[in-house]
Amino acid sequence: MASDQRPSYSSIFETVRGVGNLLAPEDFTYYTEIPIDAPESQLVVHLSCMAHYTPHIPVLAQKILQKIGLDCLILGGPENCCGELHKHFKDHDLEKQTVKIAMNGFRRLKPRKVVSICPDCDGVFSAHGVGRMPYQHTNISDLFVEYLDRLKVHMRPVNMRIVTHFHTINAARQRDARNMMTILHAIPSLQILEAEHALGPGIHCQTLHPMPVADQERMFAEARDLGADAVVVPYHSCYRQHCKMQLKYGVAVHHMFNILAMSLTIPFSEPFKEMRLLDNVDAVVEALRPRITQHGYDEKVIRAQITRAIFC
Amino acid sequence: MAESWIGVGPEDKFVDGLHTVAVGRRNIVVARLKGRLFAFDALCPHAQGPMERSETEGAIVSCPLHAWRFDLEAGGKELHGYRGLQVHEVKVNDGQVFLAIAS
Repeated sequence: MASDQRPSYSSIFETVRGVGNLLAPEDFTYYTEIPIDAPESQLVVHLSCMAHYTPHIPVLAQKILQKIGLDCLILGGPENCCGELHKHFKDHDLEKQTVKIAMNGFRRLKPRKVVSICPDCDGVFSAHGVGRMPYQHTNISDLFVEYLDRLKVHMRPVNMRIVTHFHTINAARQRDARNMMTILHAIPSLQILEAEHALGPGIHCQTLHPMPVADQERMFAEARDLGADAVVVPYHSCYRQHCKMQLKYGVAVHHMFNILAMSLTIPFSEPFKEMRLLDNVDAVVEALRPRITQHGYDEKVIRAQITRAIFC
Repeated sequence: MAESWIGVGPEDKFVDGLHTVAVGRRNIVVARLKGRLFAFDALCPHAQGPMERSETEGAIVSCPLHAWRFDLEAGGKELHGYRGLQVHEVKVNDGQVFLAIAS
C-alpha cells in the first residue's frame, strides 16, 4: 500500500498519461491493450512508462525500423508497465504480477522479438525469466546493430562533433554502450571525440538517482572545451536529465536515435527538449495550453505533473 | 441488479478503508470511503489487479498495478474511458451490511 512518504502509483501513472498525452505527436500511435483481432506481430517495441515524456524517441524507433522495412507494433502506457516502479517501492508481489502481465501480453502477439528502449525494463524482464519466453527480448540497440548493414545503405553524412555519454555498471549496459558506438561509428562524417568525463552512474541517469551535478557539469564543460556540437546519450532517462545543460553550455543534447535519424534523413521534433529549454513551468503551460484545453485537464493538476515530469 | 441480499457482517466491522469479503466464489471489496459504504469486485477488469489494495481518493479507487481509476459514485466508471469496475449495491439493516451481488 502507498504510504504518506511516497507518491502513489496513481499519481505517477497519471503524470505519465497526462504529460505523455500533451507531448505526444499527433501521429504517434501505440497500443495500451492488445486488440482481440490484432494481427500477430514479428516485432514489438515496448514503450516504458517514463519514455512517454520523450515520445520522439519511440517515434524515431518506429520510423528507423520502417526505413529498413521492419514493421513493428508499439505497446505502451502504464498498462504495459514492466513492474520497475513496484520493485522500487518494494511491493514485490505487485512487481511480480505486473511484469507477468506485461510478458504474457507480449506473448499473445506471438512476436519473434520484443525490444525495449529502457534499461530498467530490460533489467526487470530479465530478472523475471523473459529468457524462457518463446520470443527474444533485447534492448533495441541490439536490433539496430543486427540490421546495421541495412541501415548503412540509407545513411548520409552527419557533420557533427560529438561526445558520447554512456553507462557501464553491468554487462547489459556495457553491451548497450558498445552498440551505441557501433551504430554511431557507422555514420559517415560523424566525429566521435575522446572524452574522459562522459561515464554516467548506475544503470542510467534518472530522477531518483541522477548523475551528480558536479559530474554532469564536468561532462558538459569537457564537451564544450573539446568543441563538441553535442553530447549523445543512450537512454531517454539520460536525455531527460541532461537536456537542460544545453542552456548553460551551448552543447546540444541528443538521444542516439536523433543522430541516427539525421543520418537516415528522417525529420523529427523534440517536444520534451523544446519544453525543457523554455526553462519555466509557466511558459511550458502556456505553450501546451491548446492541448491542455483539448484534453480537458485541470490546470493545477497538470501544472504539478509538468513540473514533476519536465523539471525534475 | 439482483434482488437477493447477502449478509456480510456487522456494520462496525467495516471501518474506514477497504475490506475483502468472500461471497460464494467471488471476492468482493467492501469499502468505507468518505463515510459511505461501497462494494465492488476484488479484481480489476483490466488485468485482474488486486482491488483490495486500491489507492483511494475520495470515492475514486485506483488499481495499484496500472492505475485504472474507478469512480464508485458513478457506478464504477473508469476515468480514462476503459472498462468499468463491477460495483454492487450495499444496504445496512439492523446494523448488518448486506450486498446485492450483480452477475
